[in-house]
Amino acid sequence: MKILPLLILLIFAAGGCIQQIALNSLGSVLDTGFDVINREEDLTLAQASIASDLKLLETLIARDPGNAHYLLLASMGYSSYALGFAEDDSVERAKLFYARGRDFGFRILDAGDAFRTARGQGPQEFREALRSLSRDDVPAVFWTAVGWGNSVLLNLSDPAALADLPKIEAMMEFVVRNDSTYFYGGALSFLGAYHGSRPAMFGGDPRLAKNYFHRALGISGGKFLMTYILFAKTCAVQSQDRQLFESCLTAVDTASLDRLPEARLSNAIAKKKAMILRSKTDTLF
Amino acid sequence: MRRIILRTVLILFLLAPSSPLGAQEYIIKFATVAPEGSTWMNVMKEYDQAVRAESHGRIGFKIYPGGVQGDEKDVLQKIRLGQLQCAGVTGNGLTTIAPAARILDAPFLFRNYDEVDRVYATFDAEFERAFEENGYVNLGWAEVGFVYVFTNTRVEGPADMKNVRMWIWEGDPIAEAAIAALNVHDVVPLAITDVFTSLQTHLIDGVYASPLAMIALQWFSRTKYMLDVPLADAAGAVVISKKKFDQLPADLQEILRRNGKIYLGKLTRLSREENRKSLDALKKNGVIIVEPKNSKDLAEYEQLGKQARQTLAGKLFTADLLNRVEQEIARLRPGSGAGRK
Repeated sequence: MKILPLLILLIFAAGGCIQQIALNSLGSVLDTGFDVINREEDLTLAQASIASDLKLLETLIARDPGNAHYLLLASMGYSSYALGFAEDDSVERAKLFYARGRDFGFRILDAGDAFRTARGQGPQEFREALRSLSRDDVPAVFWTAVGWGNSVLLNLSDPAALADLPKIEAMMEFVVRNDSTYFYGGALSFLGAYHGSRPAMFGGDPRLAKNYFHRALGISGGKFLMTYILFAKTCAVQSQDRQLFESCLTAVDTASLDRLPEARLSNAIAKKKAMILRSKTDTLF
Repeated sequence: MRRIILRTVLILFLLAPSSPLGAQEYIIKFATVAPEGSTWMNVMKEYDQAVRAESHGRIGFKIYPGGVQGDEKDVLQKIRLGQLQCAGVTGNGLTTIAPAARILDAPFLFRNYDEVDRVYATFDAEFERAFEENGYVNLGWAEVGFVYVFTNTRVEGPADMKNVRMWIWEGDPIAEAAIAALNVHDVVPLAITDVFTSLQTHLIDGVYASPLAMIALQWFSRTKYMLDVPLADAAGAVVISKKKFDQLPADLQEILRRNGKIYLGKLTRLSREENRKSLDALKKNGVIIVEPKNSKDLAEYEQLGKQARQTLAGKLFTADLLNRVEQEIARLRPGSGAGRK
């Protein structure tokens, strides 16, 4: 009669395994799904697909809360969604989604005690704590910093948020030190925007910013168009360099979406942003 | 006949206003170092919307945020050349365009905002004349807030200041007098753009700023201590060239002035709140707030401040104005018989 409880146990265990297998395969379907979406050029279709994938991803995370891979996809997905589909229409929605991107990223990095503790300390302690991370942490550090950084930039009236900027800068510098090519030189572009969007009295440095942008453009061979958008929006506007502004936007307008098929969606979003920026030229200069 | 009607319709169409509010007759080009998205800019946009609405679109600001038109010195130069007409200015700019108003920045003058508000209210007309004598109209005060000393060595009483290599904003007579009063032996005059790097390289180990400015300029990431004694209350204002202002019809002048007081008053209230929040953020980020050791030290700071203010009398502001301002503040202090506001 002992066979019965054993059988029940086995069925449950098998059920758990099956569930885990199902979760894993859903995860790999999502991986492929994100690759497929990144190749999409129709923004409406992409927006709807990402939204549903993100909710599915959150369901998977609810079942497997410590899964760093899912958490990274969610961090990446929410920040990308904010950048591509929210920030031009609603700052409030963009704030919400960037914050989610940041928080999913924190859940990965907080697994290390040093990072978790240093988040509540000063910028110098935080910079020290980043030394405990390795090249393998580059994706999590990058996407967490993207969510965190953009969340701060949309909350400039909050001094507590503003005080986090040196920590975010340190994270992007970590990415540049460990793998500057990650995500088409994304950390270089971020640092370019960071140094290029502030006046000199607030620590801005247009020469340094241009250098970062040129390095990022060198990595993608000028094929990742979002770099041009950031270059125009920050460095060109801050230095009131209308010629640079125009040349960046023209580079985006004239590039074919097929030049970088694996980033067709990002490039289609860049084209949309170029149109929006161009319509604001008279206000910006 | 049909052709005449068509032509008339076309002419009427061409002459019609481009917006239901009518064409904008006056554009005021305004520049500030405050970045897009900051409270400063948010309130400035509200001010712009209010004057546009009340004037039915006849007047509005074209706003250049984030220092894209340069620092205060550059912007005032552009106003003189007629390229801009309006700007947000602080101490540096005020020295040029309303030196008497710099009494508001005088060292250890105020202990709290009650005293600040009383002096602004009592002497407003006098300061207004100071602006106008130099070709500007003050549309409203936009206070930067109380400024504190931040150091890398612990400072409690005035005696500890002697060991600090202190930055002063080069060319600022008020800062020179304030720091000299503190008996700092090692003073390093630098442009504001060199301060962060100089903190990193230990060329300096002391600065002064409002808590919010410490965060915005990121100097807090290179300093350890804040002495909890307000060095001064830094003033700020939104000013317009008098030449431009005088060209405006009286009703538009009134709209600009009245809304300026409303929105820049709001900005001052929000700045005070942000400075309070900034203190919390500084503490969270490891900056240690140091109380003065005892009331004797506090009294000594105030005495040093009084001496420093005397050295400035006759330069930026008159001894008479200084005397009247100090008397007005004294009335609010315990023991004066006048009580607190």
